Amino acid sequence: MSAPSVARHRIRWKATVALAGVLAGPAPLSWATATPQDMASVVKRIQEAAQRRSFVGTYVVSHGGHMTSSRITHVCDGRDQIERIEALDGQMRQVYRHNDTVHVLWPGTRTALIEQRELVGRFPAPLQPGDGARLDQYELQGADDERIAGHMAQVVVFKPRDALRFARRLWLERRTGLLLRSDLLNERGEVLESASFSELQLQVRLSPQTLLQEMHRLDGYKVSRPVYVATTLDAEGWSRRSAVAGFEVRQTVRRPMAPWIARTATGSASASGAGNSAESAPMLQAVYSDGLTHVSLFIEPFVATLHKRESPATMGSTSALSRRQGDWWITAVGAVPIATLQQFIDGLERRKP
Amino acid sequence: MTEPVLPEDRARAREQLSSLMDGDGTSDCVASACRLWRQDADHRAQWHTYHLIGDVLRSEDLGQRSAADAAFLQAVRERLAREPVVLAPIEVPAAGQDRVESGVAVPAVANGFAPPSAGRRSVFHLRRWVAPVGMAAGVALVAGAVLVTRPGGGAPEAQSLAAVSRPDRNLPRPPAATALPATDTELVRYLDAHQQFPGTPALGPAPGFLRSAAYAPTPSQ
Repeated sequence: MSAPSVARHRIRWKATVALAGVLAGPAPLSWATATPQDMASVVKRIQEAAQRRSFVGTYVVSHGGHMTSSRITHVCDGRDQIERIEALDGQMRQVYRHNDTVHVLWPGTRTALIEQRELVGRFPAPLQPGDGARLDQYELQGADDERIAGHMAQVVVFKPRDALRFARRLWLERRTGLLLRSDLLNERGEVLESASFSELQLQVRLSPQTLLQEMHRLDGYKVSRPVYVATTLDAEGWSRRSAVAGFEVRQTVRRPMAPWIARTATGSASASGAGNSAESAPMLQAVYSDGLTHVSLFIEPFVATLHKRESPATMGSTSALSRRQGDWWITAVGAVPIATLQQFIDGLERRKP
Repeated sequence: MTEPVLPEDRARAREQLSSLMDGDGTSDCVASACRLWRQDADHRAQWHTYHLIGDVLRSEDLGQRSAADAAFLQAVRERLAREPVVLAPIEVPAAGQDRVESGVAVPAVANGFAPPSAGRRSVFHLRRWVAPVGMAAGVALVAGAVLVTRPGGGAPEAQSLAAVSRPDRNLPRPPAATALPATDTELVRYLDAHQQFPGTPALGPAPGFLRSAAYAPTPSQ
């Protein structure tokens, strides 16, 4: 090889390196811009994907050594949302949802539960400022993309600013923003609960009519319709001495504790659902949210035979703490540290009549 | 083949053994050496001695009393017995290679029986050596003999074996202490009622709903 040709080769080699540098240079930048750095846009992506996309997949929730899997069919035709969730483990159970209406079917016992969940908030509900979804108590962190259920996913972490809540790591499908996986992490970074698609098909054509027909096929079923009455703690004679940082009340209802128990207690296809037995005595449930997680505060009359445990109990990521207050039995439940539940209970006060 | 009792027979058998270890034997030589190895305890002892000589020549640390080797081997067997069964095959190329190499490397410097070409080996030679021995009966014992002569190098191998079957650290682990079984009906009542409300507005109702569906109540009878 002659000297000039060697020189030419060197130049060409240098040019290649320079070109590679140019190509490699902007890559981290484009990654940075593709990763939304504000929580509002992350949340908006997740919400829009959940509202607009149709999909079929297998969803696995694992918590505290337990694992449950469900088959999910979600159809969205732009206006209506229809969803079918079949439990794949344990007793056969199908949950259908048509916008706000929820049907829970247990084919084995031919029983069904019909609920209106508009109390929870209109669906799809646009994210409003001050809607309990302000997420002030969290900061957002980006992480490298990962692959979940065969899809590339953008990974974001909502890290709590205080010790009153857990961190949440979310995997968003790169293109659509659909939530593929959500992990709850404690202060040591250990996974408390993981909910994830193990398999997901996004490009599917599904007929909403078929699902609707299945949902309303209730011949031969004992149907109960529990009634939830909206109220406020104040109206029920309770007040809060102190708020728990970051949590706002979402809704308060008077409800039967366990509608399915009420149904078996009345023993017939009671239209009202709420029976008169002690088990189904109405209780108060106040739901608080900090935007990512929620805590329920249950208030019911104290019954010595039923209400015994005052020590905290944990199942997976969710803990419960009960305390007797005079004639009342207060229980706080949520996927938060026990200290947070303690604050909820301590802050509650029965007003003097 | 009958047991070689005559001194010259024994000497020839040892030559074959040496050739086998060097990877230089013909297929007949390999077959007869392996057969002898299987039948003759003295032959096996010789095989061990050759390796031991090689080990000592390479490093004095390798030449330890075989009582420690036996104890080590026993410990490895016990730990292997305790290991959970790995359902998916996982490659451990580094450990395997290492073991073969140590077995072959010995005779090159071990003794005068080795043919002149024994000093120069290559990966190709290793392969050629592994294949016929792998086919011979009692190959597990060969591996055991090699392991016995390597007390120092054994420990990391045992660790890598343990590491292979250790579960993924990223998998969710159950929290300690207060965790309760899912059959605690008193608690389940509250959890069900709690999960009924998705209450995670930031993530939209759907994910929360999915999650709550996983907890959806079962009718109590």
